[in-house]
Amino acid sequence: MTPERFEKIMSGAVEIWDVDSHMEFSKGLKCCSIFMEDEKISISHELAPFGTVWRIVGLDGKERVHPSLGSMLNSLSRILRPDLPNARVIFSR
Amino acid sequence: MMGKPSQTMPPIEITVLSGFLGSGKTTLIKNLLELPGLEKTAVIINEFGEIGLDHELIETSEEDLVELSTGCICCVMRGDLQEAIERLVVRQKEGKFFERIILETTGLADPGPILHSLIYNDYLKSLVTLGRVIITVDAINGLNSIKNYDECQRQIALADILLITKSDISSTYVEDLRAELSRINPTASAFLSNSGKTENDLFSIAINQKDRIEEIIFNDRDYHHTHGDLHSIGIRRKHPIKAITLTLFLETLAQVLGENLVRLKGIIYIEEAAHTPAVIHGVQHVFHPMSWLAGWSGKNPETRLVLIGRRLSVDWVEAVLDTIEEEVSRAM
Repeated sequence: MTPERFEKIMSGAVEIWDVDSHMEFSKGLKCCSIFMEDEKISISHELAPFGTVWRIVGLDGKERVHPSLGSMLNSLSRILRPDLPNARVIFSR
Repeated sequence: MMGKPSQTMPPIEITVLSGFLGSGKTTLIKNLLELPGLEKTAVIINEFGEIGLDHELIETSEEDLVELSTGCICCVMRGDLQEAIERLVVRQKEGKFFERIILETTGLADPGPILHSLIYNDYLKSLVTLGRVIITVDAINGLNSIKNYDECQRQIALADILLITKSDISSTYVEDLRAELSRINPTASAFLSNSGKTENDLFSIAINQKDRIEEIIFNDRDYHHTHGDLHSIGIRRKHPIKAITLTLFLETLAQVLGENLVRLKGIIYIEEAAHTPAVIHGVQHVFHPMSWLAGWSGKNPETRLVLIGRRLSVDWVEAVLDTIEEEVSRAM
């Protein structure tokens, strides 16, 4: 995961969800903070022996750990835009 | 609810015909029903009072919605539509033979929920099989309708075949309209239709086929569009994608994009089945069963994916796919 790609994914997701915020990247672009009014959410990623670990520290201060980009983004969308319907892929038989 | 008709008969092909208000759906149906070979066509009309088709097979339905057992918020359909289909199937069982059904939606309808039902509802699938989605767009008012009405954009995005109507009255905007239709939905075939007469046989045009998808002109990355507008983007991959990567990728797209993703269509170069291109076709997050083509027709294998929706960015989608590919590779 290059810093550029991390920034692209995070900025793109926030834009898709239409969240009124600004973002700051730090720690060699491995950590991203999303600022909304007085609130702040942090997202970071690190490489572990078994793969990438994604961490979200939410508005409640609780840390959520995810083993994949998809589950991190899903979790983040529920924090940032809980009003959006959650869609799951359905393959017809 | 009527009693369930016999399910021993093969499903009847159903064509969904939609298009914005006044775009010529009814004129088209009237003309189609007069064509040789289309006599055995049943029609379901949603719009009351708009027309008075003198056709013995017309079924009407009313304006209520029921939630399907999936519990999915977008998977709702008109309960009376199901009953109308059942009535036609019962009639078929009683000896009245239909080769196809044409379902005309209201001019303001989003065909998405209806398509979800026809793709996903097991009971409906035992009665009818979704053939094609035909959308009429008025050559005179079409550009304006696209600009001002979300419903019109969504109808176009879900089309297999786009019919530009009324170009015999005015052809001034036809080329601009073609360009706009192609920008929103490059996977659909677009034809002219004047006074309900079409330049092609709408029921023999191949849809969702590899050749058609390969014709798609991918939008330039620098293409500018209004942020909230429906538009399309194309993704290509020359290396094969693992099946699990594809699954995770589609799941992530559905979760993140939600209602911003209106349609997804493509040919996938899957690592585990490298010699047989996989065809995927989804309406929002509901996908037809994946189908497989015989081969790559001498061309180099390549994944080609077209997404239609809002707030779509090629860079973002590619970054997500790259990351999922990396994660899967590390895990295996």
